[in-house]
Amino acid sequence: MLMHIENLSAGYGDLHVLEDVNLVVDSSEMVVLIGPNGAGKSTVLKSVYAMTTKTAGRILFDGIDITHLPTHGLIEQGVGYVPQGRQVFSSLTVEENLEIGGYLLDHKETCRANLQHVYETFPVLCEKRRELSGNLSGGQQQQLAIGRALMTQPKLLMLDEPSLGLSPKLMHEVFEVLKRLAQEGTALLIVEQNVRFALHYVDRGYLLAGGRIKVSGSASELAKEGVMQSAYLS
Amino acid sequence: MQIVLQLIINAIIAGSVYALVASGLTFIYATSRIFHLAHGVVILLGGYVFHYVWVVLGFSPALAAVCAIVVSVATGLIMNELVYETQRKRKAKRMAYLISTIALLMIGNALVLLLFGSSLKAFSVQTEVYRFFDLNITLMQIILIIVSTLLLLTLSFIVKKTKFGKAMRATADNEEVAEVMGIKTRDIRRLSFLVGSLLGAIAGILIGLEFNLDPNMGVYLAIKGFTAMVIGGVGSIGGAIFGAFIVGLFEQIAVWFFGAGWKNSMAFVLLFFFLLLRPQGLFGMRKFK
Repeated sequence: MLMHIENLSAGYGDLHVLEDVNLVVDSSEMVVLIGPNGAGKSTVLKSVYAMTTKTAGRILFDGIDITHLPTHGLIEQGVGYVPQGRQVFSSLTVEENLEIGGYLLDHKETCRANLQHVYETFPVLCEKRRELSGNLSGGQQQQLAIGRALMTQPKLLMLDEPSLGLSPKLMHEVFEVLKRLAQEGTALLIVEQNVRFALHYVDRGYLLAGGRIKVSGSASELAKEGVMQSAYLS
Repeated sequence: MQIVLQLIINAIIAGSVYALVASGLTFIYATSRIFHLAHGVVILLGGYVFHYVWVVLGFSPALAAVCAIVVSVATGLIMNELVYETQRKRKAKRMAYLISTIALLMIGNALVLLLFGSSLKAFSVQTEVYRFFDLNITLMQIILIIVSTLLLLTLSFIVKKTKFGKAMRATADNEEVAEVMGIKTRDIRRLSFLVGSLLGAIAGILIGLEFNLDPNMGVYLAIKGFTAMVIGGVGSIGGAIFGAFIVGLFEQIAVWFFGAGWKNSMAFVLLFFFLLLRPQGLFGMRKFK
């Protein structure tokens, strides 16, 4: 198992959000985290990425305890994170955004090779490499945000609502790419509001409500009539 | 016609010093979001330490320049570390930074007065005067323009092409996401203060050599740099440099038409004009908030 979150409780300062969360992601697996607004879905990702106060539990990654690693340590271990809202550096060009994604890479050659790999994954980024990323369309910006996180070749990529604000067609495009990444061996942990849509693509899912995991299971189990309703209403 | 050309040359001379001040301020603002008015003290120290080590103590001007730069840069870094970073840890509001930078400017100014006295400091460096078509320009002034131009070109290369420059722009664009990319934004802010203070120190030295030193110039230069920033659109280094030459030009016009006493007030006139009528500046996209 690649990442194991054990009995995690976390929040922001005095505000407690997560209570006793257990979650597992394996290599090549596409896992979705769903639940109502304010359930703490984003907080799970932020907790892994050293952006919350953790009060209990631990996070293991590839057998290493990463609970208290700072951001650069997490990147070096192979954890990537795409924050919510297509947050590209809009005053930088597409290529500069990707270079910043590879900021922690020591070797220029590695950086160049990874840049080439990202361009192969997202050909449109290669076409627009010299353009300011603020001028890209919403879908292209989301591809850039994902590509930027891929620059360090993470073993696990966490994405916070990658479909937010995209048209259904673009949503499918983004998830097709994610699926391909999973097939190539990257583990994916995705926070998603669009439940029906996400369950169509992923292998497994966790349903979070009130800061606790309510249900977990395969995509087909979660898609069953009644499972969602009971969790949302309880 | 000849007078107009002479005014323009004088504006370029003053503008190239203001450009160093304004680009330093912009550099610092971009990563820290602080209008570092206490930068005036850093500039002031550059000029005064340079004068003290060279003229009063009698060491070589090169050594004096090194001392001036070290003292100024250290002052800039200490201000950032002790005051701004401490406030940042407490999640201070913008107003708190503004009040503390004004306090730092006043305290620093008073200390310089106390240490070096209130009399004007002159270097009495005589350099050759060149004449082109009845226009006067001294060797000192030519050196000043060349030094400033080289520094600004280097700065623009650093910002555009180097890894630090890109990390700096990423931090200025979105600090939170820059952190997610593994950029230690706190170190980037420190480096910005270092680079900005270095430019300020050199500006102080050049001002001393060209215009003499008086203890009030720290305040005026901070205001002029700030005005240049607003004219160009806050946050743009190119805009700040352009704004610096506008300030220089309007000063020369004021001196010609109304007399030398009006020189330092022009920055305020321009500042009010832009804040009221064009707060986004000439090149700024966003409204200056």
